[in-house]
Order: sequence, then structure tokens, then C-alpha cells
Amino acid sequence: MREPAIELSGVGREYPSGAERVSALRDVDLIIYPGEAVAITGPSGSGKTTLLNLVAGLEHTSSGQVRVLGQDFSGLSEGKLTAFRAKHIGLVFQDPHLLPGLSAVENVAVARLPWARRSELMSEARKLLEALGLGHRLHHPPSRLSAGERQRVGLARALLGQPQILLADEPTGNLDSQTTEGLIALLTELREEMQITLVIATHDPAVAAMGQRIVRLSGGRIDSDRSVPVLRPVEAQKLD
Amino acid sequence: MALQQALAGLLSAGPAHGYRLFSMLESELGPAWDTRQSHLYLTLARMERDGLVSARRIRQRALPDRQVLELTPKGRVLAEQWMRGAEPLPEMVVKLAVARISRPELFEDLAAAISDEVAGRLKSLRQLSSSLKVGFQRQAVGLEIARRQAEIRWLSSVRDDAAAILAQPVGHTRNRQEDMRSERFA
Repeated sequence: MREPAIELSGVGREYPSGAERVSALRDVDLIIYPGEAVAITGPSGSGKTTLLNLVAGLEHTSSGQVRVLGQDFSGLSEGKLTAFRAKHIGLVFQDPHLLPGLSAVENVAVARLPWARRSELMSEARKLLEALGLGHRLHHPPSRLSAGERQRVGLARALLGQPQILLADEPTGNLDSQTTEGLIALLTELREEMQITLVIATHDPAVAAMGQRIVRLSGGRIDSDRSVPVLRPVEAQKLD
Repeated sequence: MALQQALAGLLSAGPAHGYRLFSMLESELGPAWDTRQSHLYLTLARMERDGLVSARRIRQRALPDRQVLELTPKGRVLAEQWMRGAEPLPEMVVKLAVARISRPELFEDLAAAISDEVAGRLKSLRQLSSSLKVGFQRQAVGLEIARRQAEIRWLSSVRDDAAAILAQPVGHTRNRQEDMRSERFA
């Protein structure tokens, strides 16, 4: 039997809010297998980002357990968690937060500097940017890149080191519809080529449709978990 | 489009006469969908001929007799299949409107099933689009992608607002259960 890539068991997450505590996630059970593409969707405040942060080890659970690639996060120190994330998990955010003083290729390489040699990282970063169609923008600073190009630099940075899991939080939030479609095509292609496990959080159901599964959150709970069927793309219209 | 199925869907909540069915469709879908009264009566006659509905006359004092229509078991199967299936997609608005009135307990599941169907089509269209390199094919498929995107976003808002949508009164008519009762005893 296949081991899950991501496993959440009875996960809850609370935040303090004045004298009270607010639940962002409640009793979430979720299993994602290696190579799956899963979209987490739901309205604002439904818990999408919190779920992703827990899987990334950026936040700790208030209750329940998170296991990623068989590793129970609750037993890891901050240092080990950071090293685990750097090795196995790529993160893409709505805003790629590129460093303005660095070129595109340096922005990609810099994220993993503590864990590998600079020359190797620069070489891998260059290859990734070329594969993502940014070979002509390697030495451009972020200010000379379009929003779509900056997001692709962020994606290249997330893919550096060939992580097994890619987590994307509203990656198309700042993009126009055409650039969004381009990024969806790119993510789909990359996932298939690299056999990566992709979890994408999005409020946009049209973006969520890129997943094989769509998990819908509502009020911090899983409202539905449904497979996207494989269908004929289009009924050709009659030209008569 | 789908008038026969929509009428069967409305009748699945109970017997009704033709004008009541017409006014419900008008009040639910009015400006966006055009229901011709003559076409509706013709469709009901065809449904009776095909054994989907049975009709009985009810005498009214000082008014012409009224014909009340009721689904047959065959008609009930037609209504059930139509309201539980996501396809065909162009009928989704009519189907959800009919489910809202006659089978509100199906409404959210139906919206979710249609969303799945649209998501599947959108995904396949995107795969197809990436393989198209000649002529205007990519742009032609791009229009289909844009339509599916709009549909799935609309469905998502319908699902988010389902409780409020189901709580909305039925057009200009009174409570449907009352309508059904008043027809039976008219």
C-alpha cells in the first residue's frame, strides 16, 4: 500500500484573538498521496492558508497530527523542521517576495544557499529559469520583470532542489486571466514531468479545477473532498 | 430547451395545473429564459400522450374546468434522472431553479455535481489547448475555457450562497405547498 505524502489527522489550529481563541481549522482529516494534485478551495477565512502553513511546518497544530513524507512534525525541533522543509517542500506564494537587489537567477539560488554550493545552485537555477521560459531574463532585477515573470521566478525558486512536494498559496492571485492560464499550464506540465505532489490553495474555483481533487473548506472544516472527473473536453458544435 | 424535464421536475413536488407551472417558470427564470405559454401547453399534451403525466379535470364554479396534471411513475423517473444528473451543462440554470422549488434537499448536491462536471471539462480543455498549434484552434478552445471558468465561478457563488438562495420565496406565487393544496381543492 502506498504511503501518503501528506497526512493530517484530527488537526485543529487556534489563534488568540483578544481574550478569546478563534479556530482557523477544526478536526481536519486529509490524506494526499504522492504525485496527486489537490486544490484546497473555499471562501476567505475558511482555513486554506492555515492548512498549507501546517503542511509546510510554518505553523504548529493546536491539536492533531501532521505527517509529511512519513515525518511527524510534532517531534521536530525548529532547526530540523526548517531543514526538512528546505529538502522536501517547495513553497509558492501569491507575492513571490523577490529580493530587489538580486537578479532573477540569484533570487532563485539564494533560498537554498545554506544547504548547497553557490556554483551548483546558480547552475540549477539557470536551468530551471530556462525551462520556465525565462532564459532571456536571467540577469534582470525583479523591477524589470512582469507579474507573471516574477511569479515564474518564485516557482523556479520553489522547485530548486527538486522537492517532492510543492505547496502554492493563491499563486495566481496577482495575475491576469491570461497569465493565470499560462501558470496553470506550467504547473500541470511540471507536476506530470517531475511527479511532484502539488497542493494549491485558491479561492478561485477555475484555478482549483487544475487539481485531480478539490477539497473545499468552510469555517475551518472540510466541506467536501471530490475528484475531478476525466471528461471529453468539448462537444464540437455543428457548423451548418 | 429541457422544458419537458423542467415541467416533470416541478411536478415532482405535487400535482399542478398548466398555468401554475408557467407562472413558476416565469417568476423563477423570467428575464433570462423565455417560456412560451403555448409551447408549455403543447409540451404538457405531449407528456400526457407519452405517459409521463396524467390529467384530471376539476370543475370550477363560474369558470372553465381546470386540468390538473400529475406525474406518472414513468414521469417521476424522468424527473429524478434529470434532477440528479449534472448533464447537460447548458440546462444547469433551469435544473437548479427547478430543484430549488421542488427538491430543495437536492440543491447543494446538484450544484456540487455540476461543479465537478464543469471542472472536469475545464481540465480537459486546458490539456487540449496546450496541444493545439495551428490555425485559430487554440483561440476557439480558449473561448470554451473562458465559458467553463465563468460557469464554475458562478456555481461556486451559488454553493456559497445556497442557504440564502433556498430561503428566497418562490417568485410571485404563494408557498408552493399551499398552491398545490388550493389546486386540489379548487
